[in-house]
Amino acid sequence: MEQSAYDAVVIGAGHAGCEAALAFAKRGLRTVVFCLSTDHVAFMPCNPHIGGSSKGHLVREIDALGGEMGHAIDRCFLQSRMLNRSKGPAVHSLRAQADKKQYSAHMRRVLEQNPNISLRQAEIAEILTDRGEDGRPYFKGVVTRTGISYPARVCVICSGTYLQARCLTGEVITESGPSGQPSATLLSSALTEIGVKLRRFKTGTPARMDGQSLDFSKMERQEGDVPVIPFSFDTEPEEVQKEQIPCYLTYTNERTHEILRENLYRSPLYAGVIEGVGPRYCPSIEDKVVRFADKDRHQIFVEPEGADTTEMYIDGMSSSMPEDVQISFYRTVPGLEHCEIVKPAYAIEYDCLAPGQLTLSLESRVCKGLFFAGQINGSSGYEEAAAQGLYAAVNATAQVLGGEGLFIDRAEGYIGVLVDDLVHKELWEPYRMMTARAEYRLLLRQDNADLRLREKGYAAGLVSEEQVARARWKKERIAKEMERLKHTRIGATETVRVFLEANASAPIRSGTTLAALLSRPELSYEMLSALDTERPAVVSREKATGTDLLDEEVTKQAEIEIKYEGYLSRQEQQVKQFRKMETRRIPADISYLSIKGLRKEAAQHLESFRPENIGAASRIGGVNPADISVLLVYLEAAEGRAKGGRTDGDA
Amino acid sequence: MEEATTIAAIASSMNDAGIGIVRVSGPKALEACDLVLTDASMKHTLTERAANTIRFGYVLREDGSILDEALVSVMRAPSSYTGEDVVEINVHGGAFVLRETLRRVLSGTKGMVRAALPGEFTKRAFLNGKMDLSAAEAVQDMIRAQNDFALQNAERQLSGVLGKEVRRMRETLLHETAFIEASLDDPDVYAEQLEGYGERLRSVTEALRGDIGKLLDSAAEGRLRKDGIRCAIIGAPNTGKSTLLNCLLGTERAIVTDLPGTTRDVLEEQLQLGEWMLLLSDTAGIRKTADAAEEIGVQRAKETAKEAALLFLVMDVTKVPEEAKEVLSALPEQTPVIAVLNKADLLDDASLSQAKERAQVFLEEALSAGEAGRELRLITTSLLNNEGISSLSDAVTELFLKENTAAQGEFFLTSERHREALLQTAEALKRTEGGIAEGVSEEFLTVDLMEAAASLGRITGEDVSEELIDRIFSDFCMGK
Repeated sequence: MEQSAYDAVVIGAGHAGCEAALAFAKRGLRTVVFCLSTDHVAFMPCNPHIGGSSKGHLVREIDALGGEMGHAIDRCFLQSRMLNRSKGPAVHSLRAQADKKQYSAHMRRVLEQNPNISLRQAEIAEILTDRGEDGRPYFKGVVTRTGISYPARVCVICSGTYLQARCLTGEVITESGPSGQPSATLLSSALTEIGVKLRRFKTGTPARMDGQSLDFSKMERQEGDVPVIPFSFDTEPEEVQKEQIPCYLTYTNERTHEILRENLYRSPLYAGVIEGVGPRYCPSIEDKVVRFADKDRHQIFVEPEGADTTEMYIDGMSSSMPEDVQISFYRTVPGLEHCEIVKPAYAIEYDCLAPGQLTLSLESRVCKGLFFAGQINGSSGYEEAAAQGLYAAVNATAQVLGGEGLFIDRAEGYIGVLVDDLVHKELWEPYRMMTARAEYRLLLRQDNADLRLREKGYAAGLVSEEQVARARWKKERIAKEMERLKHTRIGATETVRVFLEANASAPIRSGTTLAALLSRPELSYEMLSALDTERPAVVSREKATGTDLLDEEVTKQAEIEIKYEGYLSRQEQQVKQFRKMETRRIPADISYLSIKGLRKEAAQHLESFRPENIGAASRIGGVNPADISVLLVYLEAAEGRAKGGRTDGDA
Repeated sequence: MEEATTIAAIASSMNDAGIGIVRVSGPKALEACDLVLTDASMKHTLTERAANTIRFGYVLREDGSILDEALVSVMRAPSSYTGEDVVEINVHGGAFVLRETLRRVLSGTKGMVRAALPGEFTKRAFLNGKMDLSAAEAVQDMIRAQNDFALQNAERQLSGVLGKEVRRMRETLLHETAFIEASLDDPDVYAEQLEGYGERLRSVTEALRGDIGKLLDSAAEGRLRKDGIRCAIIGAPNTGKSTLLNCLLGTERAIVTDLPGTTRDVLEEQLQLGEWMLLLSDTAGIRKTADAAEEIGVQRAKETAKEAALLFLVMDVTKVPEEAKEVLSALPEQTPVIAVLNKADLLDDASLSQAKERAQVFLEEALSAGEAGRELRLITTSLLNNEGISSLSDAVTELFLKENTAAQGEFFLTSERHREALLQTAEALKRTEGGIAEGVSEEFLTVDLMEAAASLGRITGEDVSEELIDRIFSDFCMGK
């Protein structure tokens, strides 16, 4: 039987799938979303928080592009903190504990209430393709396990960790997805049948414990920030001020490590049972003890899973040890002496794409119209997944409706770094975002994600007129305020002398500008209001937008831009160099193996990743600057011939 | 599309006598060369000059003194080999002058010029449409070949102290950066350790800058070329020490008689021997003497030998080892020795090679040379007939460069790129210290730390970005 009402198919309703579905639906595409359990939409099978270092940036960027994640967490958080507050603005990062059940319910509601989205509980068994006029396969539809086929124009596969998943707790292996969910057993072969290559990755999660069995008095309490800063640029700060729930900090000790070492032979990882490659940034506790043998203790964070459950997440202690070993080592930790495990820790193995199979639109290289997002692309994390879901769906939409699609480069956003790395790198473990991966991170701040990306979201049809108008006004207003600060003279008067002395700042001999004073580390925009007599009033966002008044977002940006001008302009110079390489396109049909002078190793790597431009080519492993020179000469010659242009040297 | 930098390299063979050429190409070629060149009248700048002109002028040292005379030609874009503005500086062919000229162009031009990469002039010529399209494959092959050659050279140079030091420094920088990144990524776990970190980091960067300074100063390449190699000519009386000096200088600088003990003081001369500038000290013959004046000379000879970086041990090939005892006891330990077995004309070929073999065995033993010991080279000469000087020059090169330098100047360019990279590293470290002094937070410091590590990586040919991520995970326990 055939259901024919859909333009787009989304397989999986996790964090990638939800954003993908909403992005399709916003553009009016009739979208069907399949998941193995509709009761687990936007399920959080691992850590109970959203954001954190660099991931907070991703959430802000998703929000700026018109995604849902920021709205969702603003409504479902239990505690919120801005990390690295004592550092510069580029590494400030929001992190919020989520109420998992509420979060899932919120997303499900948003999906269900959208008239363009149909949610279906079904496993996909087959992917239908046909060959186009160019002889290339294209996506035609999917067939469910129960035999219903859904023809559609495009598809985004967001299968998370469910493909051929198996969970390991010690010697016990369960063929299942995360947290007792079923695994998807048919999609992997459906994919390999159409030429998609897969491989195995591994990750893990710690135990969940009954909070009533824990002694929190033996742990350090961690409170949330007051006031709370919202994730979404659309959320009014007043909406998120509420009572917060604490987290707790405790430590492992020598006894914990001893038990782990004694039982290493029972770990599937060390016994060689696990084939998948596990992530180094999220090592299991047994891994930590082996690899960092000199550390006498490791920090453990105890975090709530929700407001209406006593379940607690034991952050920092994931493991694939047998449950009896888990019970004994968890109970060595202060506060956990009498712990009752609700859900034991486990490692999970799943299928994901082998490297080099995606274009920069996150589209399959072997099948037109088939897109991939989230953990199947080798990433890890809710935020990374959500970002890809939105990104892939916008590009898939462009294939249906025409238009440019979405492209973000490494200097425009963390999403750009994420996609570029996933497409061009030979990953050996699930990829987690880090600020260290962003070369131009001083420019890619969470506080300016709207200034960087709102226009792109608007062009993609995901951001409203009102939202983009706000970003445009803000941009202009910031520039104007910076101009004013740079041109407002401050004389060497007695008032100024007293002010500087009071703030432990060096005296000025002759006149200067407000901007020059603001660039001093010890002086802030707010402090300078004492000298800044012509400053426009700083009012609420609502009142300021569209006027000559200021709001705090504007003054914050003006302050950052002036205070860090030296470093920021250096990064802008680096970006200019970077862009020169990025804009030199490489034709899609290039045959690297036939280029004279290109080393074989370089040619093979280039052949398998097929970079879109010279910049991307230079980032591929095994390609050196001389290879790039050879490539440039080759391209120039090829293009010259194509144009039938140059034939003589002395032109 | 390519970044429009200005590049320079030696564009002629380093072996050619006569004239050698340093080529500078790029948008700032003229402006940059004006900082290190002057025309004879000292009135006209290159920027004012018409295209396709050649004029006589001078290459200036840092202090404004004249390094060499030069014929300087100016070509303007697009009518030049590369299609860019090009300055070609024709100087006297000696390798030393050529290198110094290139060094001035690279270091005296406020960062406007960098050392050219292998095949870069030709690549630019091609990309700027100065070559027939059919030349493309030849150009690609040439880039590949030159790059392989440069890599081999770099490899050779890096197998030594420089390579070890550079790798160590790079490791240190990556470790520190990885620590900062770990603590920014996981502040709950690592933030406390960042307290007071600036001061700790400063001690690291200061130490590294010190190491770089030492490396630049003391690297055999660097200092020997700048200051010359201090050599002492030493030996028993009347073996031909002064004749050696005179042969080298081609003049009768030292008084030569056949009376033993004629040279009673230390004579110093500076000369260019092939690649190398030698600071030569001729010394009194060393023997037991009752003559007070001669004895002073002998003492001075011993002191001179101590200060030298290289000893020319001149011996009468017919009298080894009899007359050597007194002399050998005067030699400092470790200093490399070139034993000049003189008066070869007194022996026939067969006895000469026998004598040489005997001398080899005797000297290796007496000077504790051989594997891992003192460097020793033996040559035979007949200085009276001016024979054997070229093998002397070869032996110096062998000792100080350890590799054949006949390679088109690429060898030097490789080390010049290394030098440039070390200077850039030091600058980036200096900026890091500036940041620490201003109290900026650590993520700003990493901008300069990564630049420093990247500069060092250009020497060892290693990329930084991926390695940093690896270091974060390998050096620090990440993840909750």
